[in-house]
Parts: sequence; structure tokens; C-alpha cells
Amino acid sequence: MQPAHFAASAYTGRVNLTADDVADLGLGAVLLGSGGGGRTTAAERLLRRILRTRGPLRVTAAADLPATDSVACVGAVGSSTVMVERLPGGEEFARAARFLERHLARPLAAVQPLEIGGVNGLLGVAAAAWLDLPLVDGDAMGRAFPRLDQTVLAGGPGPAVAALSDPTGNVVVLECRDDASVERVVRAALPALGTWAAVALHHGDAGWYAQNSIAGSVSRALTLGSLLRRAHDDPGRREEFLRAAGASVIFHGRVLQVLRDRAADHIGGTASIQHAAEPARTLRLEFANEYILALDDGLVTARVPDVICVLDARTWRAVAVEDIVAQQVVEVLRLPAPGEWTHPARRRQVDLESYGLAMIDQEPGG
Amino acid sequence: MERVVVQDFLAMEPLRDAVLVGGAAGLGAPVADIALVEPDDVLGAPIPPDSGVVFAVTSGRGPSRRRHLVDVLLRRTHACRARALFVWDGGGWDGGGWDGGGEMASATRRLADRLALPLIQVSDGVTPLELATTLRTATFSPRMAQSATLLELNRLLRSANRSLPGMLRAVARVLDAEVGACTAQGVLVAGGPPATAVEEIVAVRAVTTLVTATGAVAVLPVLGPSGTPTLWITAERDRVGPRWRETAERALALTHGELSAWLTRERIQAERDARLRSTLLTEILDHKDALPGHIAEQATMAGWQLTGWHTGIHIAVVGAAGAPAPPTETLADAIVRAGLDIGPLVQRTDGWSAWLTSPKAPLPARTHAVAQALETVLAALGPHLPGRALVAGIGTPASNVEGIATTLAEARQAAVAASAGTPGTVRRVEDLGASRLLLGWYTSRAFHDYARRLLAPLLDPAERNLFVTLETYIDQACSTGRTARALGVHRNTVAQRVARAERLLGMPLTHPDSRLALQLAARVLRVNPGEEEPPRP
Repeated sequence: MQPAHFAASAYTGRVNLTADDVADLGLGAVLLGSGGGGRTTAAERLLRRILRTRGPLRVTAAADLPATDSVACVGAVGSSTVMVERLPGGEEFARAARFLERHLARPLAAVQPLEIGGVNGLLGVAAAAWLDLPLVDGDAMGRAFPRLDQTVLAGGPGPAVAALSDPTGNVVVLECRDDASVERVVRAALPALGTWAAVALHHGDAGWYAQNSIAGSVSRALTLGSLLRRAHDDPGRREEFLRAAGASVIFHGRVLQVLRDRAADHIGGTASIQHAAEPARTLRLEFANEYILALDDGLVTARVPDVICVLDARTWRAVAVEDIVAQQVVEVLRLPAPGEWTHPARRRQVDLESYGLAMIDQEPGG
Repeated sequence: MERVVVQDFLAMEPLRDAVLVGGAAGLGAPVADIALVEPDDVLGAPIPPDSGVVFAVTSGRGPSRRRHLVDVLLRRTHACRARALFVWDGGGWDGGGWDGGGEMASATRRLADRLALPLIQVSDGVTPLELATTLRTATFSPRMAQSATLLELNRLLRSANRSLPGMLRAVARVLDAEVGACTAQGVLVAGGPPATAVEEIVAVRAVTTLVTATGAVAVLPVLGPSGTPTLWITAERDRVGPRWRETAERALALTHGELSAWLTRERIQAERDARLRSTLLTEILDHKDALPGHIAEQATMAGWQLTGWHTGIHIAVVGAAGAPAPPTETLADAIVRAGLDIGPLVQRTDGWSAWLTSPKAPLPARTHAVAQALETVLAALGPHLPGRALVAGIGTPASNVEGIATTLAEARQAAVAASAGTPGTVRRVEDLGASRLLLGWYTSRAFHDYARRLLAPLLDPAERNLFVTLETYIDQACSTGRTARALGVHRNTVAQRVARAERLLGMPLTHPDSRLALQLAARVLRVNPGEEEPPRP
């Protein structure tokens, strides 16, 4: 019986994070990206360099901070593809956080990654190092999502404030009615900012973060990354990984066909995978920015906010939505969604319809 | 009437462009009901057992990516023991276009195959409601759907102008099939050629449907004026069920009266044309250069060219008198298809005459090519003429109206010479050489009677050896040795037989006139054998 969602307590909280942890953190972030969230290679290099320069980064649970300390989430928003060409320098993340402080007239005591899945899992950590602030072990998504209002911190107290900065030094500070408006305005501003920008948002007290944020995300990424790294080389250790992640292999087979949507403004499509042991059985895997729905012969076996990972069957390296092609032999894993997303009100923020897919009122495996 | 099966739906008009995505194994399942499912109720809509499900995947509001619902509904349709899923994905919401039309994912097709549940994609030309209504009518009142088809055919036949292509078009339209008409010889008269073998089609004696590898072909033999099947109408279509087959048979049966009347009209018209052409030809041959203006005008209207260089062709029928001669149209058609641009064929007492016309005198190579083409035609028609054989002769080119008579007479002579050869022989009068001198003799009835009288003692079948020996002896310049070698007998036998023949005939072969008379008589009898089996060496 797999758990419906993971418990943060299953992962040991870390006190310090060093350059040696970056590889594992990267693997974990890619895994939690559910096939999306952007490539991490460049961000891993950046993080490794700053950690080598300034030494270990202090990691703390929000609950361990004084309850009135000010905390905010930091990450990148926009095209992760362009980020590979137009590399982050580090100053833009610090600049965004500092302008948020200035606007709110309250200094930040710590920062938390906005999104643990994909490239933001590393950039959020690096931001703490660049700002020389402690890192809160948690995040606002528990995985990767494409939109700024798809966070468990959306709808917090007070006005929704966000500060953005691009690598050339432009800064935009927004104060919006709600987080959905922030998302809309940021998307409109992104083309002028060079398609991606650093963002600081969701300011709040440490006490509020301790209650509402997804705790232990950084430790979870590190633990899963480390177990996954060992499972790469030694298939005997895959079982151990699955147990620790609370994950299950929902399908194993060969990709028969990948139909991609040709619209310019979004990515998406459908992969058909033939089962390795039962040739007549087929998995339909729907993807947008991430893998979002798995239908095993028409039956829902995983759907967003579950983390759906596609791994190369031989090496167990993650296959991103941009990279899945016909003839690959893959295993499809389902990692249960963070418990914070199971509340009906939160669920609507991240269901199939938020990706433009028609809903199916069927629980995975039901 | 038994239940409609899934396959029957595919033959219906609104599903003309529908794509069978998968699940072909379930096409034979009977359908008892039709259910309509909307995208927002895939898991809740009632699906009765044995029903066909119509899923309007692109209708209503909501997110534009919906194709995955087809997989979910396939599974549910199967669980409810329904028989088919029709997915309508025509243009629906505003600004969408993500999911409309286009290719279904391999996963969907494979699931339909695995469940043996036909999945039919309908993209254009019909609204989901029309689709559901049509399917419902076909399911609950199959007779009504069939009657509608037959009434429509009846209406179209009335406006078909009584022409064969018009009638075939009407049948093709209501049955949505490839329709053609062919003769017993397999010659396509109208419409398209059938994919089914012609032998199979012309073997049909009453309206019926043959099931082929991909679909079915309905065949109607049309009775001609003589009461035997003359024309076969075929309506062929892919992926059809029993319902279409039944409707097709009824539709073809409905057209039989009109088609039979058409055949009779055609036959009468042909007879009238043939008579007109015979009369015209007689006038041309009689008047030669002094052709009256009105005759020349009529000849031109009949398709004849009177000026220029003409090469006469005469096709003769030889063999048993009782066997039917081929229809003039069949022959004309075969000649045209061989690439010979002849004028109308005129039926004459012993065959047909026609001529080729060219502005300049044709070279001998040209008449040679014509001879070869004619040989091909006769060889192709040979197998269709039991008990009969066709031979042909070609005259020398001659100019203008008076030339027509000359070249046709020569062609007729050459045909007579050709009739001495094997069936299908074509001879040119140029090639006949010295034997042309004798052609007049060969064709003379008086001489024929005289030859029979002269050779009568040897025409008894018991004396066959004597006739052959005598003929060979004379042909071999009265040499006993050469005759013995030609016949493979001893020279003494030859000498004895010749002596016996002289005795029976009462004519000594030593006299040159006797030899000439006997040789000519033997030739004439070989060319015109009369009632008896021709004595051949």
C-alpha cells in the first residue's frame, strides 16, 4: 500500500548544504520536476561555485526560525529554455529579493525555494547563498508547476507583492489584488524582461511559513537524489529508492509514438507506450510542461498533482517531456502528491483543467 | 429483418468519410440502441448494453484537450457491453483547434483493438445530433432507411434521361458504390471497371451479392431482347455489412426494367443503323464516281470518308452455319481498342466490310501494320466464338469513291483466300501473288457445283485417302516418289491409289486438261467445303 502523500518527517532535516550535495540535489530536483521544470546543468554549476566560494549554506526548518521573522520565496519565472542561452548571473535573484524588502520595508531573515522541481530547486537554494541568508527547508509547490499561482502559499494574507529582475538590471515591483493577477501581469511583462526573470514573492512571517509551506522539500530532493544516483549504477537498489520515495512503477515498456502539439505558445502532447510484458496493453501519457496524466488502457493510474516520472529503463535517468521519443524503453513512476495539495480548494489550482485538459473524475487506480 | 450490425453503419451516408480507427474485430456485432455522451459526463452518462455510443468530443465548453476522454470512454463502453464508439470531433469550440480532427494516438487505437470495440472517427459533414439521429433511425427502423434509399433511386432514375451512364450514376449515388456495366465478353460498356474478376461476375444468373476480401459487389444480370443475360451491372463497395448488401440487391432489381428497356432500344437502334449502312454501301458501290449528292451527305453523316485513299478490310465468318455470329458492336469495339481508326462496319452476307482512309497513299508497311493489328483482334475474339472462326482480308489502297469498290472487292477476295488457312488468318491481297488469278474461280458458285460433281466419287468419307493422295500427287507435279515422301507411304501405294482414282473418276491423269480441272476442283472444295467435313491433307 503506497501512501497517498509523503510526510515531510520521513526525511531528515539538513543543517548544512555543501558543494558536494549539489549533484544529488540536482537529481532530486529533476525527479520532482515530473518531466518539466527546465534543465539543471547550468544551475548546478552556479550553485556549486557559490557554495565553494562562501562555504556551507545553513538550512533550517521554518518552524525553527523566530515566528515573526520575515521570509519570502525566490526562484525564476519564464522560459527555462532561454535560460540555457541567457544564463543567470546571481545578482538578479539578490536584486529581486532586495527590492521586495525595500517595498515592504522589512528585511528578510531567510529565503525558501519557490519550486523544488527542476531548475528552480537549485536557483532557490543558490539565492539564499547569494543573499547570504539561511535557507528554509521547504518550497511552495512540492514539485514543478508552470504557473506562479500554483503554489500552496497563494492566497496568503495581505496584498500579493512580487519583485522581478532580469539579468540586465531591470526591476519590476508588483502589488496585485491576488496571486492570479500576479501570474497574469508577470506573463505580460516577461517578453520585455527577456522571457525569464528572477522573482521574489509570497512574503510572510516564519510562523505562517511553518504552517502553510511544504516543509522538508530540500531534504527530500537531496535524499531522493542520492538514492536515485545509487540506483543508476546498481539496479538492486531501485527497490530501496521506491520505498523511500513512496513511489510505484506504474508502467514499463517501449514508447510507440509521441504526438506533439504544434502550437507556438505552449508545449504539450501525448505519448503511447506499449507494455513490455503484455504487448496488447498501452499507457497513454499526456504531457504539457510536465507529465500530467497516465491512462493505462483507459484507466487513470496517475494524474497531476501526482509526480509522474519517466525513467530510462536501463539507466534510470529521468526523461524530460522535451526528450521523450519513440523507441525509448522506459519505466513510468508515480510519486504521490504532497499532502498539501489534497485539500479540495487547493486541488483545483493544479488539476487537469489548469493545464487545459478535460477533467476525469476518477481517482488513480480507481 | 435482423438487427443492424456495426459494419452497416459504416456504409451509411453520414459516415462516408469516417475513419475506422481500431477495433475492426467487433464490426459484426449487432446494435440495439444508440446513446449520446457529452464530454463533461464521460463517466456518468447512461450507456445501455448492445448500444452504439456517439461521443461528441469537441462539443460544449471547457478545456480544449479532450482526446484522453476517448480512452476513458472506450474502457467504459466496453464495461457496459456496448458495441461501438463513434467519436465526433468536428470543429467545436472557439479558438481551440488543439484536438479537432487529426490523428488519434496510438494508445487509443490499440485500446480499441484490444477490446475489439470498433472506434469510428467522424470529423466532417454532419453534426453530432444528425449523426445520432441517423444511427438511431438505422437501428430502430432499418426498413425506413432502406425505403428512403430506394425512393431516392426511383426519383433519380426518372431524371436519368434513360441513358445507361445516367442510370449507373443514380445507382452509384444512392449506394455510394463503384458502379459499372460489362458484357458477357467482359467488355466494359459504362462506368468503372469492377475490382472483382469478370468471370465471376458474368457467371451470375440472378441478382445477388458476392462478398469480396474488402467489401461486397452486388451483381445484376440484365436480360436482353432474346431473354438471356446480356449485360451485367455491378455495384462494388468496401467495408459494408449485410444491410447494404440487401439494399444494393433491391436497388439493382429496381433498375432492371429501365435497363432492359434501354437494351432493347439500343438493339433496335443498332439494327436500324446497320440497315442504313448496308443500303448506303450498296449505293456507293453501284454509283462509284457519279455519287448523288444526298448519298454522299448521308455517308458523311454515317461517319464515312469518301475522298482520300481507302484501304478495304473484309472480315469473314467461317464455320458451322448454325452457330451465332458475334455482335457487330463487339467486333467494332475490339477493332477500335486495337487502335485501328476504321469507319463504321457494314454487315454483309458473309461478314463485315470497312475501310481505313488516309489523305495520302499509304505505304505497304502501313497495310502490313493494319494486318498485324487485325490479327491481334481476331485472336482475342477467337475464344469467345464457339463453332465459328473469323478471318480477314485487306485490299490494296485505292483513291476516292470508285476506289472504295475496288479495294473492298480485293479485301473480300483476300478474305476468301484467308479462309483456306487457320482461324484468325489475315491476308493482304498484295501477298496473294499468282493465286489471285484463281480467286474468281474459287468464289464462283457454278464452278463449285461443277467441282463437286467432278470429284463426287472421291468425296465419300471412305475414299478420303484417295482424295488426299490425288490432290498431293497433282500438287507434287505428278511425281510418285515425292508424293510418297509427302504422305509417308510407299511409292507403290501411291501408284495403286492414283490408278484407282483414275478408274473411279473415269479421267486419265495423263491428259493436261484433266489434271488442271482436277487441281482447280480440289482447291475450290478446300476453300468452300460445303456441308461435309473439309477433306484436309
